[in-house]
Amino acid sequence: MSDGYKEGKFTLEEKVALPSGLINAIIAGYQIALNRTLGSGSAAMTQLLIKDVGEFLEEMLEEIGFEVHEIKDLKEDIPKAFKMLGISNNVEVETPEDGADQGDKYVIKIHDSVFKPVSMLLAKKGIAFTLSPESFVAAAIVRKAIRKVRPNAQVRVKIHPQKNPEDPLVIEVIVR
Amino acid sequence: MSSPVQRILSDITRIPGVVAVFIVSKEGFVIDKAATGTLNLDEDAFAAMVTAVLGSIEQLGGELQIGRPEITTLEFPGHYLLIHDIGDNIVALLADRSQAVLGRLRYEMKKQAPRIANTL
Repeated sequence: MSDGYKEGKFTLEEKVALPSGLINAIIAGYQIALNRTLGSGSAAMTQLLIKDVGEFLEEMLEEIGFEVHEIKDLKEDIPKAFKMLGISNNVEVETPEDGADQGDKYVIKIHDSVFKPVSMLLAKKGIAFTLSPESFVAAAIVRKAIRKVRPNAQVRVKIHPQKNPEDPLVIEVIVR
Repeated sequence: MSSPVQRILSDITRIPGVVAVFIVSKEGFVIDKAATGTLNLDEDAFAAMVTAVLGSIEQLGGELQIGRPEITTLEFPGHYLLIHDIGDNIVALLADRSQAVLGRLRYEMKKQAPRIANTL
């Protein structure tokens, strides 16, 4: 193992094959426990995590050649980051006009995410997926890109429950 | 010119002992605030904590089947923190225990919270 592991640094350099079922079970378990203890308050955790995950993510993405500091076109860069991280090969980014009065809005549709079983399970149970890894990745990238020009911009995330396996996971990232 | 909500918050800070009052969205943001002095805090973290505290107390009420909390009062060595659910948002009031009268704070919270909710 590299020194990064010893120092508690997250790295994408060394690939350790973990079954995705295990990762998904852990994410689902955390989300169910969080929902049980915090109820509607679990939504606020998303905002804190965007900031923290964003910092880890930035380092990891740059490690595999994705220059977070050089993000130019979010419609191209978000799908690229999802692909590089191995989360999904099919991501669409839309910027609808109807949300303009609330700030810049990015609608991100993620098809066949590796975390799809978690969103399906939680939707069945009626639990909001506030710990969605996809939402952290999307929000962290948007936040990084926007804050280059607007340092105090706030990024909010809304995750639509995924009820049908054929449907993509839809995440709205709103910048104010 | 200050907004209607800012005027209400400003009125609240004139109550003896009040250090600060915050309106927090349940998504985890401070929407508005007023304070009698400078506060050194991470507002995102504070908003998330207030939302989480209210959420966990609501869950506790549900588990015990005793309903939803009205005003949550937290007592710290030198301060009170009062938390009131106003629908999509939360009002959090921080007060100095040595100067504040808890009954007055609770009375004002009940009186002002609907006004705040109506102006948002």
